[in-house]
Amino acid sequence: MAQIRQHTRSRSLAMYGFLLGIYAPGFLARHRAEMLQNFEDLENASSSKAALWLLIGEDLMRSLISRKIPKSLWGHAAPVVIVLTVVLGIWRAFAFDATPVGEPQAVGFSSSRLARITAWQQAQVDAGVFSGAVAAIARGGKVAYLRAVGFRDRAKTVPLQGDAIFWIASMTKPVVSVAAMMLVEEGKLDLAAPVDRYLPEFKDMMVGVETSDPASGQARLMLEPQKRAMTVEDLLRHTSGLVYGDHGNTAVHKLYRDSGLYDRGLARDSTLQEFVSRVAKLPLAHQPGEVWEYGHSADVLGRVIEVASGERLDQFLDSRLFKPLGMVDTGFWVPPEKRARLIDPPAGAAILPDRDVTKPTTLFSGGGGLVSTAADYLRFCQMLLSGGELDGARILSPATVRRMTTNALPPDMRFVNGSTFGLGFAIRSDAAWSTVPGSVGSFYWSGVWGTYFWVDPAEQLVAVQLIQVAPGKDGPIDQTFRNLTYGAFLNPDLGAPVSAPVAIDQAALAAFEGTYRFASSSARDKQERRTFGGIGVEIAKQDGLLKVLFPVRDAPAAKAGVMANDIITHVDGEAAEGMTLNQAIEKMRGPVNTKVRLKIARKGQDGPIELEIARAVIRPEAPGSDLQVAVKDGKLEVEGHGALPMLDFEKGAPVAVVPTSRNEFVVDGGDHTRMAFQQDTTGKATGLVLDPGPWEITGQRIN
Amino acid sequence: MSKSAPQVPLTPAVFHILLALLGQERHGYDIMQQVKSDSQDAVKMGPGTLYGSLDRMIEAGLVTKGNTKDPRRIYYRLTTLGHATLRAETERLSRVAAVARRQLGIA
Repeated sequence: MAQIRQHTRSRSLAMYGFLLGIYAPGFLARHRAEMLQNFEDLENASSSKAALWLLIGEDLMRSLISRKIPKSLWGHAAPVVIVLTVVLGIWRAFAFDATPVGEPQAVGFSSSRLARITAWQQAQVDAGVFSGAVAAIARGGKVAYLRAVGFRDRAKTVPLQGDAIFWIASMTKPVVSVAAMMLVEEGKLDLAAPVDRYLPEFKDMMVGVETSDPASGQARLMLEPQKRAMTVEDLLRHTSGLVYGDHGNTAVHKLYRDSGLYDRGLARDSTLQEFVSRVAKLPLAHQPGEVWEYGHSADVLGRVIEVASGERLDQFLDSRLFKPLGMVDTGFWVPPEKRARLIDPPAGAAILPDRDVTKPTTLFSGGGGLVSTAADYLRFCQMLLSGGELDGARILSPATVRRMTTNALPPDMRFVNGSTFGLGFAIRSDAAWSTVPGSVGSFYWSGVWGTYFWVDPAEQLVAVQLIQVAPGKDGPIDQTFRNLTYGAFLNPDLGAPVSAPVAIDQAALAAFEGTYRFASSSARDKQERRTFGGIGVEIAKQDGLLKVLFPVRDAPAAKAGVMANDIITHVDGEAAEGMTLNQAIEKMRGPVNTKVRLKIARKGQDGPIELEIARAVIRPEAPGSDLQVAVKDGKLEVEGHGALPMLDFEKGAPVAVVPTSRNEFVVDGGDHTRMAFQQDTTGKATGLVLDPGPWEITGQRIN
Repeated sequence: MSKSAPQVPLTPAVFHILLALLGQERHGYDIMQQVKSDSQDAVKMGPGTLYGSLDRMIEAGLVTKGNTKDPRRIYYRLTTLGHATLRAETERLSRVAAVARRQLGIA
């Protein structure tokens, strides 16, 4: 794990990465990774730095002149900026690198599949979902992936680096939970003790119960005494009855909102003590120990830590956790010298005054105050995975980590289906039911701006993804990251090379020749497809233009010569420009044997093409895909077309496969795609099971 | 892929890339090294020039992406049109060189 810190690549490389900003985004999307790789190779082969930069400088200038570089980035000032940048040598900003570390294969990952994380994140950046992301993944204590994608700023001018600092929000809670357990191990804190032993203001809390007034029918708040006091353990597992004002709409939630807890008088120079005493004045939303509800429990826990340890929370965390673990960039604010590494907040996110992490604070929010980096948080996770210790620093005993990551909720308490909650972490608990991939016992949590981590002890896996997305706009980003990570696992039986080549005679190979069709496995796609009168084109609206994606095979449009990528400019003499996609579709459909006139613009063809096409019955094909299998030069070759998922070879070109048994093959040189032919009793191939990982799909032979 | 007849003359970068890909799929860095070697160090091509040219050459149908064997690299290979174009340009250059040699009196 020490390698996360020690690994810093050439600053020249980081500099080159920065200079690549002069190229168009589309160009970079295609070539950036390889250009950086090439630069590294050139640097290794180059006799001197001067020679290297002379070549690169000339290359950049030539590119600027010959290509019309978009002005969006730097405009005409670009050459000047390049020269100045090089001359000034702002090396310092590039001290940390953002390329993969170690050999992914050595820890059971496919590097080509890990690269999908980069591609997917880049697509999110391009689509404006988030401005940048840093992801870090380690297995068996070795970093398999550590990479930054996108930009540090919302204006997309400064590339994000791997050491970027993010507000991790609720990912503070696990950190504070670990701190509390350290005190439990020292005997300074008692999990079963009432919170009021440490914080007297929590004595005799009242519980708010909403009832409706029988006379008026209006909701009113009744206060009833607590059946038992909230315990320290309640704070760690969110069963204290403390809530977040914006996480519900009961009378208690409203009281939280109206109390000024968030928006009035809570400057960053107020104290945790002051904040917690305000929380203590509000009624609880539930009887302690009866309901799991997310809320200010970890903030109160932070104050409990201060009282039990006699130290300020920031100092306790710094001296007992961050320093020993080498979490050098984690804290409650970003000091000026690190400001340049702080990623911009997401567009549209409200930032409460107490959350401005560029200012120092004494209001140490244990529920969401920390900023951190992917490398820092990865080290925190690795400490947990390693049973409470990292690089010689013992934080917790293995037994305590096990306790924290074991269900702490009573069996009848609801959390999330398939998961449960320990002391500071959600845990995948159900072996038979889950909405996410990962082993039972995996634990995880996230931050309100989309940061996410999880630890999978069974797979020796830790993973962190840092992004900044306004709440409510993040969608299943953490799920996709999780899926991509598990999707990059190598099949254990393919990790080792095939020991002895299997020989199959030509006749047996020839028996596999044919086309295999894979239907979509989506239930929606399997539904009966409605037929209609039309000409049979799949169209889409792109950049305001009505574009033909493809003509349906053997349908009137295809017969009339309509081609993929044609732009339909007019339908029945009416300009397509003003039509929505649905209007255009409606206009092209109609009774069978009636005619529709299309005017088409085709790239490489002068003047419009005018066609009159008679409508016919169109039966849309279910989305599916074909794999063609043929024997060439004594070897079996496959060629995929259509929506086949996640193969480790490109579609539309023949790829050789090598046998691993009489009817099983793997892609030659590939790292995962397996295929097994199904045969009937006569040896005739009837189907093909394709396993691109992590699932199998079965195709039927169609000819 | 719009036209199937080779179009010459070519820019030096395009010519050298075509030459580098003759008979072998190569990835970007490999092309740069091959160009350097083919030109006896006279032409040094940087990544920007290379990928800019490759993009345009793919558009023009001269090269196509090869079968990726290395997950971190994209391989490129000549198309039939690329092959024909290299041949046409080589013949054109030979004719031009012959004229120049004659006029310079270099036999």
